[in-house]
Amino acid sequence: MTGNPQDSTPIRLEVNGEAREALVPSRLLLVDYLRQELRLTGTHTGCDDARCGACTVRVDGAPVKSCMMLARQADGCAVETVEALGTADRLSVLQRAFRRRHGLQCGYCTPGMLNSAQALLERNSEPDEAGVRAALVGNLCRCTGYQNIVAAVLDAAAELRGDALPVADESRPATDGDKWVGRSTERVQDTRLLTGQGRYVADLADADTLHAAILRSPHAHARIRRIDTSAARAMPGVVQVLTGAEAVEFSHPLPPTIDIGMRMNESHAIAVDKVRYHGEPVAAVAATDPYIAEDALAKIVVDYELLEPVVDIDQALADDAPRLYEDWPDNRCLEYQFSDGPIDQAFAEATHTVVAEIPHHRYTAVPMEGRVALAHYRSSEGRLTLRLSTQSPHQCRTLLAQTLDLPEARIEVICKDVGGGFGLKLQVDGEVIPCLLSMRTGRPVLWAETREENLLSGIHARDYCLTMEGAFDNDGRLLGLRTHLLGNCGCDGTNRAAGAGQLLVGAFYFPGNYKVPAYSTDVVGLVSNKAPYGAYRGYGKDIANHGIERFMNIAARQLGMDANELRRRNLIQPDEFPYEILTGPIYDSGDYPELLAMAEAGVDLAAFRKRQAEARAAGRYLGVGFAMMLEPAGGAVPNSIFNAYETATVRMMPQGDFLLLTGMQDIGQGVETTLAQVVADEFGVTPDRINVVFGDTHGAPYGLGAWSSRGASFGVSAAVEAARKLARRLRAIGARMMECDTDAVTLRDGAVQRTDGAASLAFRDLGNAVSLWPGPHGIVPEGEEPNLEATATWTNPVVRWVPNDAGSLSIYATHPSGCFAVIVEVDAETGAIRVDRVYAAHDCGTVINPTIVNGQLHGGCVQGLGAVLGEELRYDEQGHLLNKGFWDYLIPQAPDVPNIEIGHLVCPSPNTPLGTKGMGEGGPVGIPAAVMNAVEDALSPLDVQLSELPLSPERVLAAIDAARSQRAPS
Amino acid sequence: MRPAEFELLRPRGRAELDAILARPDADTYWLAGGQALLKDMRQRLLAPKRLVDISGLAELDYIRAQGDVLEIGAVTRLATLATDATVRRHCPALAAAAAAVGDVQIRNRATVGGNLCTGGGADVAVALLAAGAEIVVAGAGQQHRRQLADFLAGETAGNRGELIVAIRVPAAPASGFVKFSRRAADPGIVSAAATLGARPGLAFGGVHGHVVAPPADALPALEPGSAALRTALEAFAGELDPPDTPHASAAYRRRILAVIADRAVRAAAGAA
Repeated sequence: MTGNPQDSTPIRLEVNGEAREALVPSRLLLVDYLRQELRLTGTHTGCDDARCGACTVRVDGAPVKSCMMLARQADGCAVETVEALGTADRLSVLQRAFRRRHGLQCGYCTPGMLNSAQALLERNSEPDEAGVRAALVGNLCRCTGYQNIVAAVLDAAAELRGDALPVADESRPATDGDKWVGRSTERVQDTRLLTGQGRYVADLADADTLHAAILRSPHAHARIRRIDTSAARAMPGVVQVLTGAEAVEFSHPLPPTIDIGMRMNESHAIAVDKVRYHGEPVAAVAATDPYIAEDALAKIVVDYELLEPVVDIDQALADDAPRLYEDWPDNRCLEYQFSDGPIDQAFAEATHTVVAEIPHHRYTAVPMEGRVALAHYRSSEGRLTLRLSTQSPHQCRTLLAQTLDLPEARIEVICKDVGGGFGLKLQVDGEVIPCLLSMRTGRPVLWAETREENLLSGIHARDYCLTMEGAFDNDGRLLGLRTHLLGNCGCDGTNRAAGAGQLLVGAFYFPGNYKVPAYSTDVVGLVSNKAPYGAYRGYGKDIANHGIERFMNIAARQLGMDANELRRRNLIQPDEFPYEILTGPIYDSGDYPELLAMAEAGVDLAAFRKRQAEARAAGRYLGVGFAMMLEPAGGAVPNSIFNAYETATVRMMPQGDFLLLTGMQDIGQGVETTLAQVVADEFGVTPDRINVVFGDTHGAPYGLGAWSSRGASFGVSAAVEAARKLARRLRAIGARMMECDTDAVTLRDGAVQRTDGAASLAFRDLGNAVSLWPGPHGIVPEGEEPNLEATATWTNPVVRWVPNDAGSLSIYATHPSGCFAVIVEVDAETGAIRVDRVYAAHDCGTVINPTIVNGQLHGGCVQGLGAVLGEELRYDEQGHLLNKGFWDYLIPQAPDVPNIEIGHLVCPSPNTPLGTKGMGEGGPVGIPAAVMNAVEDALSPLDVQLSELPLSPERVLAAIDAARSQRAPS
Repeated sequence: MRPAEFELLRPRGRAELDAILARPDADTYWLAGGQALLKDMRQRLLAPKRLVDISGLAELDYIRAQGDVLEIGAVTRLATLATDATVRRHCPALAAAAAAVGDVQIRNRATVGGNLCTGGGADVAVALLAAGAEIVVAGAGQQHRRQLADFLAGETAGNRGELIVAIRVPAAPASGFVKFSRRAADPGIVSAAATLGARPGLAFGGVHGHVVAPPADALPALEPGSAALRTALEAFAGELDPPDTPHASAAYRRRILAVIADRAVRAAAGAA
């Protein structure tokens, strides 16, 4: 950040009440002054173009984005950051309301959100809901769907006015006596996240840290002829410049994440001789300062030979298509066929045959914190310490060990707070680059991707074309289903990420919540010159669900039936569980007809139809749409990093409190809280006695992290079984110490208690006795391990990896389900859609923490709304990505979405010790079809049919025009 | 990304500003709220050698009635315009347009003069153009008034040499503004402002390379639901060259222009 003569004038300002004077370079952004110079790391960055609001601070009381203001422009101002709002022991009214209302999940947007809300409350003591949403329009949140944030701000306003707090109106299942499972306890992590004390990876950089910047290809498909890095290397402050050709001298290709019959390509973190997507890394810089690192990128000269790009599915399929990988015979990375049941007979005997093409566009997760890695390789020890924003620290370590050729046990991956994941952060790709730079320099290197990098190269999902054919009998019963799925996997199916597998999940689950006696599917995954293909909240469940739920409406229209009646005639019935579908999955439990009935009642369907008719008479177009939802949870994929077990260790400390060590990862979904709840119940203590350790590859057992909604099946079940194992030992030891039978004691109130009430032994006394005073001899009964820790591994009891003759498999532990109802109004003059209501009937089995579960539903449903209404990664014909920032990638903002209404149905799973099933992906899985069905219902007087997504006003208006021209007399 | 290096001048008053104006320099950009300029600089689409930060000049931050005209200092924040009682009475379309720009944080920094320089999507310019506003431009040693329409059709992105120091808005109490956008805080795909009364006017953003107004003599009376107006605007739309963006094609912008215009006319009638 070399300066200029003008910079010799110091700025004088007040930050959080403290006078500051500093000489700062002209170009230093206020956010960097706060974070880097003052170490006030509560202020975050989530974009580069003043859209996300994570950097919001108050300047002279007014909220502004500190990323779009120079530090020198704050000269003479009073700046307040989140750190000024309140402290852990004295939270402000607003912070307490956020904690009470669960107004934060990953917490990354929270500091900015608090500053905007605080400014609102200071100028308006009686805001209404619309006013709060409008005040927060400049603060993006990807987790909460804004609902609980808005509720928290309204609560805080009421409390500040002295009004009685509104009573929470969420549907809460009843709790079971004094159990912690079933209770909406406040989350343990919230106090630190609300006070700016979170430890996200970028917050951990210090003065010695080098900053990485990555030069990315401006072309979709090109050969790299030559790279000249000499000018960049010569710049003061530049410590290292690395090209792909240089990196392969001391590293290996990225290893696969899944290998189940996909065609594998070789890929590297930095392209070696060819680039295959717009945004692929071609060189990287490490410099003493992020500004200098970015300056240096402009000095690197790359000579490209342009190649013809392959962008869409049809191009990739063509016989004469350019090959992405020259040694492949074509661009197919995955082919799969399955058929079982009398499928040809079904179509031969059908009264009605319905064929529908159901395309789906490409979009992505965009957590508010992008990918961040802080690598420190110490050559004297041969050890790599990596602070990583990840969902799966253990597998990332395994992958890195292979790429970096380091002993795995000498790599430590540490991950404390993660600013959201949603599937994006399951592997290492760009994350390898700071490791390489650190190995070259021996210094810590931070890579915090820009939002543009995140959209260009952060893995993408969806982007497929489905054809579905159904054979129906005269009563509308499905006799058979044929599906054909073509997926555009971008440059990479399962190396850089794990995307190709989601096509198979889709193929397995197209039957959805319905009885399908004959089924066939064929799947082709194609490589193209688009960004890598990976997981995003759904991982193929979305493909299946969207397909069948759109198909139900399309078929109902052709059959002349009500769509929900068609659904009801085909739903699996509650007395049929466990229900094995032809492809092998065993649905464990549920009541699908009840969910559908709940959704219809939830939006008061009969009353709505009356209102709809009145609106139509007045020229307004209201519609309701439904979609059943099936969310296979707890995947267990052979030959992959997404495997079939989870291990937990529970340790009682000598002082009688507990550590739970888990490979599960908290990424905002709250496992730090929910795991403590379930373990607390096993020991009869309060959850604050359980300290959950995660994100620590040296401390925790090898575990597989957060994906596939597996927390409440794998993560919770492993913790429960470990706790039960230790609880049995505590009873045995306690019984011996109190001289009674093991059967005569129970664990309660932090003690082993005799059930007859005659004696009680506090955990602290037991722990001390076993561990130190006197120690295990004479204390621990024979046959019991002389320690106070237990480890258990939970595996999926219904997994079947050996295919039957037809090829069926079972890889999901549980099958949460639901039904969504959406009410929209369509502006037929412009094509604009307003979503008025979303109702979710939901069954995830036993609910551990209702507030957390509801929060997941709010956020998931809003992500589904974003996907169907606005989010789109659009490529031009040359394979250039057009949406590279939050001004063009349209995730929902607070005023765009309604509150999500929720009804719970509890059908416990027989497959898990607590009856839990897992949840979290249902919203993005089911909402898009429900919205499309609602828009078609609204426009049914015009007989509008929708196909392409997202539903931009322009597309909707074009569909209206098309329908009108069809109806116009010729 | 972060900006490339530049020199930053921060004049402390009008005299220092005039001294800078006296030696124009093609590589000098005015930095006002910075919500557009710094964004482009962060993406390294622009790398000016020198910025002059005028955002703190109190002399350019005012709202003053001068007879029938409201004069607004160029660095008046959009947040102020959106809520100022005088502005809301004098030209409700202007308050509505200012309130429609970006979000709370952006409006707390963005200025009216800066917004006029941001090109085709500048919503404030739409309201000002429909109201028949003038701008006051300062250059080396002189200051003059100019029709906003001429400025917009000329160098909308130009930020050098001269400086908009004030905007003069004729009274337009019956005026309305409507932005049609994908999300509440997005720039308008099409935005429209209408002024009714003695000096009727209609102006659009998002439908051409810059903010435009159909020629007054080409327009029938501005009345809600007017079929004649719709026909005239459909003809006008055909003469425009709207931008093609990932979120709205040129054809779509043309298609909905008359619809949004009618909504602006209704808003203006409602304000009257």
